[in-house]
Amino acid sequence: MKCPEVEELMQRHLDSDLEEQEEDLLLGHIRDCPDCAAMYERLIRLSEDLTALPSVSPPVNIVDSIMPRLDGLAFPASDKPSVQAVAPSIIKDQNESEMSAPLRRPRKKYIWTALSGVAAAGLAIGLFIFDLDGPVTRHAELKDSHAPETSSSMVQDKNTAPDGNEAGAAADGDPESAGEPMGSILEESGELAETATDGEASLLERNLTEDPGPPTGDGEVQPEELQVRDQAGPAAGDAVAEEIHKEQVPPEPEQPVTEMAPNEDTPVTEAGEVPQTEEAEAPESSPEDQEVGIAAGEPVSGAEKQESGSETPADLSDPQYRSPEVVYERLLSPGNDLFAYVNEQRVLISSSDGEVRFASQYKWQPEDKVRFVAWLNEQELLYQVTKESGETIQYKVDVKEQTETEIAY
Amino acid sequence: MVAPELIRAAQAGDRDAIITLLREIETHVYRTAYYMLGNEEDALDASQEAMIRIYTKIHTYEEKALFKTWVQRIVTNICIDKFRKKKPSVSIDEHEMVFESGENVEERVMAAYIAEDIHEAINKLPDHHRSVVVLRYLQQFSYNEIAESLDLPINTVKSYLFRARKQLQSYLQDYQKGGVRG
Repeated sequence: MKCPEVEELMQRHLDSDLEEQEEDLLLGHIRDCPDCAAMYERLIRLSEDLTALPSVSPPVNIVDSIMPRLDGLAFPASDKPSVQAVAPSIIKDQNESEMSAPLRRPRKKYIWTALSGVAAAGLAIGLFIFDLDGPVTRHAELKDSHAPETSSSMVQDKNTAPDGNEAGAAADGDPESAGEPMGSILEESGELAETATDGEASLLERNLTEDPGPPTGDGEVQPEELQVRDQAGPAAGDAVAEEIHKEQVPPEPEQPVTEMAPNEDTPVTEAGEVPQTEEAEAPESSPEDQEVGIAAGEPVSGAEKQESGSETPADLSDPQYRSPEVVYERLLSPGNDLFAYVNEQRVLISSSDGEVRFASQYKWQPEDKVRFVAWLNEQELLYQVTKESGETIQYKVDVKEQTETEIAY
Repeated sequence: MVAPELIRAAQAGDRDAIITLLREIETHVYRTAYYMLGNEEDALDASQEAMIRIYTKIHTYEEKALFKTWVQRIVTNICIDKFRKKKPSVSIDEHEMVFESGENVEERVMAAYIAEDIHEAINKLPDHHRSVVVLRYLQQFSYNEIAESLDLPINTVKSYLFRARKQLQSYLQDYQKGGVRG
């Protein structure tokens, strides 16, 4: 055998691609050819070193980091024509079927899903509140009347494309989504409120600093709105706690956060009916409201606590957001630039413009209680996790250094 | 391996399924991107792009190909585009490299140097040679799987791989002359 041919054997040998006879040929040649033996050894070594290359992993959670962008894309893509729910476009035309895109998204604990969906829905709601009489009551009525049908309609909503019409047509068939506007807004924890007037995904920023949405727009229906809110649990301004609740609790299929969007299309028809039934419905709404408000059964007390604390814009410096009793929360950094929250049982820190700056490597169980203790400074955060067993672990996150270390509790 | 049911569910429009699927493949996507592009920042960028593309194109995946090769095709294409536009920089110490080989400190330090050398050497390879090496060693793909991912004939794959290895060992010989390798 000639050396060049042997070299090919060597290469294939590295990939375990040789037949037994070929192996024999290779070894036979190497035994007598020092040059090839040297090359063989170098190649073997190289292959070993290549095999030993570190299996690197991403330093941040990539899916989380693109969630805002994913939320702006229709899913499934391309099969459903013109249902591109891009938040900014919603601002331009909130009455189109685009609004229904968010409908398809399950009310999972995706803060980003919520945000973009909220952007669309919030704007619509904001406009409705401004334009219609009794929008709140309509919400209440729809919400109440649709409780039982939630799950079935939810499923439908999830799987149909232009949900706008369906939602409208089956206003009743569009369970929470119908009555959801308020509820989901509330669930969205204030962000919804923000999005009412700020149809952008960066509503987070607004959320933290002001609550111009429903509250301001609801002048004329103030009392009812508050009532609905009360019943629903988290007030618009309590997005923070509520959102966390939502995130913490397993998704409740019948409570699509973004479902509200399509409902905006059917306001007029509903409006007439609403007032009549509103009173009757109202009393019944509490169980659902709590459900809705708390994004699936989170301790009502938590929600109520938050809710009672403020009918006004979320004041994150308010002690209630850091009180020990509140297990789920989101904590704003001292400089108001970052906030920590929990999403899908993972601790995340985002900047006020919505960009995820840190994602914890730990994913907790639903029964674990994550509590943000405090921001030590603008880059370090302390949080604790109390497991079901009662054991508490404390972590310090350094957003700048991208580290998360366990520290003595 | 990503469960076929998960893929089908995602293709059927189940958003939870696609998100779950993306989370499952995230590391594999990043790993390829990192070694293709040579640094963390570009790798994250490319990974994000790849994930979004997978999200929007999941319905185009056909089961006749392996899902992992379909995914890697997307990643390598994006990476090749990227480094044709920008010359990647090598910064291997970005990652806290955990070296499986070597029980003691000395061995681990050696491994670190070697990895650095190899990483630098990989970065000198032309894009297709680099892709083949990355898929072979970081993803443990067979010749066939590499061929499928890169849409190349199997003989071309072998040719690239063999040439790449030869080139790499030559670079490393150069390092060796001035470096720490024994």
